[in-house]
Amino acid sequence: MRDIQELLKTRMATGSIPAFVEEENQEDNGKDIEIIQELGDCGLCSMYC
Amino acid sequence: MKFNKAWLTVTHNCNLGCGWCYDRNNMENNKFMDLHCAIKIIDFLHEVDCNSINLIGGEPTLHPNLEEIIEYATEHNITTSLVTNGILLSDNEYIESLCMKGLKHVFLSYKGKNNAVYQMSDDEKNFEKIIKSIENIKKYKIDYVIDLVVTSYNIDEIHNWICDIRKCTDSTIHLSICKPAIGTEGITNMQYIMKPKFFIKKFQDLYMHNKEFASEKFVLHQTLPSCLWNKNVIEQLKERKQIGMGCQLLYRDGIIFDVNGELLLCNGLAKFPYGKFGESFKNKDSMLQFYCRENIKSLFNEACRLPDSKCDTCKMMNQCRGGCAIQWFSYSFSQILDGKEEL
Repeated sequence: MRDIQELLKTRMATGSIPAFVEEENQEDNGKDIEIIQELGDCGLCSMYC
Repeated sequence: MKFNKAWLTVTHNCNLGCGWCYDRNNMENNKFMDLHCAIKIIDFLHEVDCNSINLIGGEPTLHPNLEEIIEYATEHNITTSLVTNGILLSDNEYIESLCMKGLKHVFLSYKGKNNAVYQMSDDEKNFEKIIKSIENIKKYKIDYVIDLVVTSYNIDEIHNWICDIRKCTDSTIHLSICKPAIGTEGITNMQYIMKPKFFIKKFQDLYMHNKEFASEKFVLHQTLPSCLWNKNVIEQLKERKQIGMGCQLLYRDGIIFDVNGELLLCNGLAKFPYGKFGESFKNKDSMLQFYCRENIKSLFNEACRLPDSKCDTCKMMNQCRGGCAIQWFSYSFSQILDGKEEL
């Protein structure tokens, strides 16, 4: 656990933490992002297989 | 908290040796997910109403109990998708068996003709096997897409690859950009990663000048900040519905299990689990308690931190959320915005 916390500190990200719409405030959690096509994954998986 | 989809890494083994793959860090482990572990995870997913599983690897078709895993998930009304290089799907009996057990979808990762990836593996006929596997997937009427991962090594071949694919299938083609593979010693695939502006420039040239990219069956995994794109190109992609997103971390709608049941923020962080199924939680109640812990909330929040303060007020933030969270391990968005990134 400490490893992943330490690792995340090395991300070169300097913005804020975006507000996340909690489940009780929306029908599908996380879907406050404008989606053109929702795909099965982010494309990362196909790097592995 | 609801998971719409789950990822099960059923093995780190692979029958190829792609240089950009994160799992090259893990292949020496020679591990397969224990069938009992897979069943317990599926029971849990059924309990929490998650109805979709992506089976990944390594190469998931190497798992000796893949058919049982698919069958068990299907019996619990969970749809299974396979992310595969397709080599073993050239075997008629094997793909028929997977189909009979309930396999619904295949993401086939295509790596080009006469590619060095295939030459590195033992079997020189792997490319022919992939073409055969596409025929088999069509024969058994399994829903599928072809995935292309663009790296610094193949960016100039992508158009030819798409033309080759179109000779044997009209399936949807997904294009995604190579992302960092992070091992305990740092990023292990740096030579394959393109800087965002370099990729965008190359892609925009290809997209505007080749009709193969105009098809509705071509989709770009848009994991870069929207503001970096030429507005005309991004609008055209949107009009044609050719932009897709699917990051479970940004949507917070997925859960990832590694081979031993470890929980991962992202598959690219396989060496850095934040918990373990069976220990951190084993059912819905204990899962809800686990994800309500402040340290877990804080972990997910930090992983989703926007890449630059300019994103905070950007009108396009809801389109991209700053893009793929793990790409900021390999370069700084602030430097890109400042024009310090070299193409």
